[in-house]
Amino acid sequence: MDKTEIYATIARHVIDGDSNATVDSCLKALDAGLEPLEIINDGLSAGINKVGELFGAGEYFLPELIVSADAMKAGAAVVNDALLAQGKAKEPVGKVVIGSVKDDEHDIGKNIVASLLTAHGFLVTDLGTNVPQSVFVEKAREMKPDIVGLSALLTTTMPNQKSTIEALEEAGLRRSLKVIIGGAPVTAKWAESIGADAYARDAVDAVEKAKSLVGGDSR
Amino acid sequence: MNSRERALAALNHREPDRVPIDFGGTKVTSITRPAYERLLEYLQVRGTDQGMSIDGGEAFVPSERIQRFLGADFRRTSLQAPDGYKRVIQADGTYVDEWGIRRKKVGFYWEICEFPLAKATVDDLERYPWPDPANPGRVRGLRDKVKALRENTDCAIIADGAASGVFLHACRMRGFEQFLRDLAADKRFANAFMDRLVEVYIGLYEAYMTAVGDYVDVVCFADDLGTQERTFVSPRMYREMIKPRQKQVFDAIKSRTRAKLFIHCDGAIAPIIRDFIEIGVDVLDPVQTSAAGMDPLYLKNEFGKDIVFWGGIDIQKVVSTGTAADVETEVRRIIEVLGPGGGYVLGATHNLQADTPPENILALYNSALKYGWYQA
Repeated sequence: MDKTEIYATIARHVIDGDSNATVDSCLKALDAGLEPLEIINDGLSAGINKVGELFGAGEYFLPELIVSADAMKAGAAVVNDALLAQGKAKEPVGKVVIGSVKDDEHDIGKNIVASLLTAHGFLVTDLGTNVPQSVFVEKAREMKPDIVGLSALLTTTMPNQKSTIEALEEAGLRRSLKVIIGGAPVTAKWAESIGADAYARDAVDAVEKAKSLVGGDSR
Repeated sequence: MNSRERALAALNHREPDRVPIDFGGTKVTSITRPAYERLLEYLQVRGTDQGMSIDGGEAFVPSERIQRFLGADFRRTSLQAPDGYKRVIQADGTYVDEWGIRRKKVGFYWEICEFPLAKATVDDLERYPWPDPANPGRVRGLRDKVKALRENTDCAIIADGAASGVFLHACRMRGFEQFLRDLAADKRFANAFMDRLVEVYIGLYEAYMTAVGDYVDVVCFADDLGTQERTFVSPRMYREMIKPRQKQVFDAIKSRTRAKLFIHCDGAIAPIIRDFIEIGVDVLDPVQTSAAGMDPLYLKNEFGKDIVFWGGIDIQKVVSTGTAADVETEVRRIIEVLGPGGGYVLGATHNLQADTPPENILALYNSALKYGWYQA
């Protein structure tokens, strides 16, 4: 197999959401002496980008998205180990702190966004659910993220997206980071009205918005 | 027409005197405690019109007087807790339901904090202590109670749902992300799990309908399959893995009652409505018009002959956050679109949430009573 075929195989396994096969094919690529960064970019990332397209086209749904992100992460872990062994570490595409806002315990959407962002090379710190404004502030200060992601699934908790943004402002952190918001009742209009930098309609959209906010795509 | 006649006409796709109204007929078409308390305060009837908590939770059925005042044409009944089970709030503020799902109070809601089958294998499914459908406590005295309800009110009677669906309940026991992962990557487990749920449901609904099937007009089953943008799983996967199992439950229900089968399914689900019709669903709730592809005019034209729409008044973007005038405009619009020919029961698209102003609640039902009349 030439390297184009090897990368195509890796991408195919990511698209199929087959974690074991993805890991195996990444190991084979490494054994064949291929460049880890190239394996990530031309194999794994090519696969997960295709998955995003399939989701956007209505071919893939959440189950396929989840298992493909799993496969991507499993493959990336193996390749990153190889990079570390060479004394090189892949710089994350960007740093993200994400959570469901205060009083909101819903996490399915937020988890899938976190997972897909990780698959796309972001370093993601997931603060979980029902995250108080002060914890977002504390973690933003500590992690210095490029992006803070705020999820709300309820009309009653949407105001906490606003108050979290206000808390980041009061702490003097707002200008050094971007805020993306999402969740079923959330709209682009709401995002604009509370001063968020972007609204993400779904997980794939969140990755697109995150990439554009940090400038450029994941490669 | 009395309430029951009105409801039955609409459910049989005939125009009644006015669009029937549901407020408090099911656990997904009621009102949350804070919104109800503010409504009572606004109406200055606090203290006299206590509602009834549904399953000890935060959703409330309004008092009979409030239901009557706001035109509600349906009354709710449900299976009871089994003998030996009592909802007990533990020292850490959590409680465990009879399926083993642990919840804690976060904000206004009891949210799941422990998924009992998160790490289960196919073998574990066999060993799991599933609810016993034959537990006599579930239906003890229920037949007499529902008979009395039927005789003492002229309202249509709803048998509210048992648990929460083949897909949704699996998510609630397994964890959402993990069950979605199972559906794609471990079909053997996902299928075995759903089969087990179906078995329990069939048992529950058999006991339920044997007790009250001839006294109820509507029987509910809830199974949320939609997000705001699309179905959780592809229509193809739904048809392959979920639909046949829902059909098993529906067949069991329909073999024991002539009541209309009502399915509650939030979100953007237009691509699978035809499937619901095929497996015997008579009524679709809530018609979440704020979700993608759920334009009421399209739905009425495409499916209105074959399914009754229930709900339709959006709580996400109108009733909670709009003005009373917005609510009135929306009620009028939805009645004009979904009302013609019958086949429509008006209600909010879910329990009225804590942020709903009392003025909007009154605007909702008063507008229905104002604009809901059919030409004689």
